[in-house]
Parts: sequence; structure tokens; C-alpha cells
Amino acid sequence: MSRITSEIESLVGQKHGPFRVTVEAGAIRKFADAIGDPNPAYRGPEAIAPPTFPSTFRPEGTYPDVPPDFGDVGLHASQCYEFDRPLRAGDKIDASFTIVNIYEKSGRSGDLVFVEREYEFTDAKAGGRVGGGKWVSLRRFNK
Amino acid sequence: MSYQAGDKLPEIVKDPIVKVQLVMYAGASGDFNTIHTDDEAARARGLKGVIAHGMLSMGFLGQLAESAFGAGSTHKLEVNFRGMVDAGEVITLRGEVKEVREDSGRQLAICEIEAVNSAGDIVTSGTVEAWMG
Repeated sequence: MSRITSEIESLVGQKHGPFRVTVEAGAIRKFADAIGDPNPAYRGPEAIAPPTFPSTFRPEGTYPDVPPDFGDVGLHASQCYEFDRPLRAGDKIDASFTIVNIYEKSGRSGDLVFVEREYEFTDAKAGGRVGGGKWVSLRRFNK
Repeated sequence: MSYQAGDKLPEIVKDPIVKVQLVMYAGASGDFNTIHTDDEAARARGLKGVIAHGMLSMGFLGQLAESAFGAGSTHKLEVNFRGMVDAGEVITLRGEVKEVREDSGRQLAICEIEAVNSAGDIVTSGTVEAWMG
């Protein structure tokens, strides 16, 4: 029996955003500090953002997702970021994401439902894409 | 720094992941899932105690790449999360250049990368494509 109900299936294609984020020098430094990365390029008013910094771009409020009680455990399967240019302090970025695929697999520990989302980041000042990515999470239904 | 296919990236051995680092990462990233910061909440979910954010290990791999190739050199960073990382773990970061490709008149290094725990298990692995120069 499929775990993917019509309600879950209907999430595919749903887009959230764009929402605007300002890349702040202080936020970059705190992010690099938390990773324990001493690279001086991530510090100061002209800081470059480390490549996983877009994980800080969080939408406010609710966004399309499988319900919190869907499955027994939520896990992170994979993550990808791509850049046409590095992000820097002072950038204003419009971020959006779209659920592009929901599929299931049967694992040893139970049924797994994967949710794939694609991101897009555009430069709110100059226009044009600056990067994007993919985020795949999964929900496990324990046996 | 220029690399060729077959070259290893300089290995990085991270300091042990102390719990306050997970609190710092929660605050810096905005991921406040309590399995990363609250032992009681983690145990209630069947874990031994708090586990590190998967994205922290991915951040470590970003450090590996940009320490080797320079800040802002990452064109693409892609990883799979393969195992959980307990608080207190010491993570070692390794990478190897598989190919150097010419792209838009620039040199792009394609590398396999991995984060390994103290038992030698790969916890996160993937690829990075980084610009050289």
C-alpha cells in the first residue's frame, strides 16, 4: 500500500516564495564560528559566505511540507548547493523553493517517503540567478 | 593553489563536537530541532543523546573545500547524509581530486569528499566542484 496519499501527492509542484533575505556580515561570522572554520575571508564587512550559508535562509511562517506527524522519524537524506558567484555580506537574495518530487522506497527499517525540493536564489538588486540547490528529506514509517 | 586529478586535499581533523557547538550551530543556522541540543528530547526520540546537525558535517566539508581552493571557490557542493554524528565525536575530513575540467575558460576541480567519524565510518560524503583561480 502506498504511503503517498493524494493529499501528499498534491504537494508536488508547490512553490514557496520568493522571500527576501539580507546576507549580513555578523550572521556569516557566527555561522563560520559555529562550524569552527577560522577562514578570515568569512569575517569582516566584506565577508564571503561559506557554501552552506544558504541553509540559514529560512522562510517565515508556514510553507508547503508533509505534515509533522507523517511517518515516525524525519531525516535529512541529501543536500546540494550551486553557485554562479559566491554570496557576500550586503547581498539581498530572493529565495524560493519548490517541491519537485515525492517518492517512496521500502527499507529494512520500514517504508521511506522522500521529499525533494529545489531552491533558487536570485540577486534582488542586480537581478539574475546567483545559485540554487536541492534538499531531500525523508520520513520513515518504522516497521 | 592548483591541483591535478589524483591529488588529495589537505586533510582536516576537527576539534571534538562539544554540545555548545551544537547550540551555536542551532542559533547560527536557525535549525532548532531539539534532538541537537536537548539530551532528554533526543532520548525521547530513541537516541542515546544529542546528535549533530547533518548540515554541520556538510559545513565541515565546505571548510575542507574552501580551505583547499579558497573562500568563494565552490561552484557546487553536494552530499549524502549516511550516518548520525554523536556529540563528542571527532570528525576527519578528506577529499581527492577526480578530474580537472575546463569550463567557461576556467579550471574546475571535481573532487570526492567525505567526513569520517572516530570509528572510521563515513558519516557524510559527496562531491565538490571548485574553481581554481
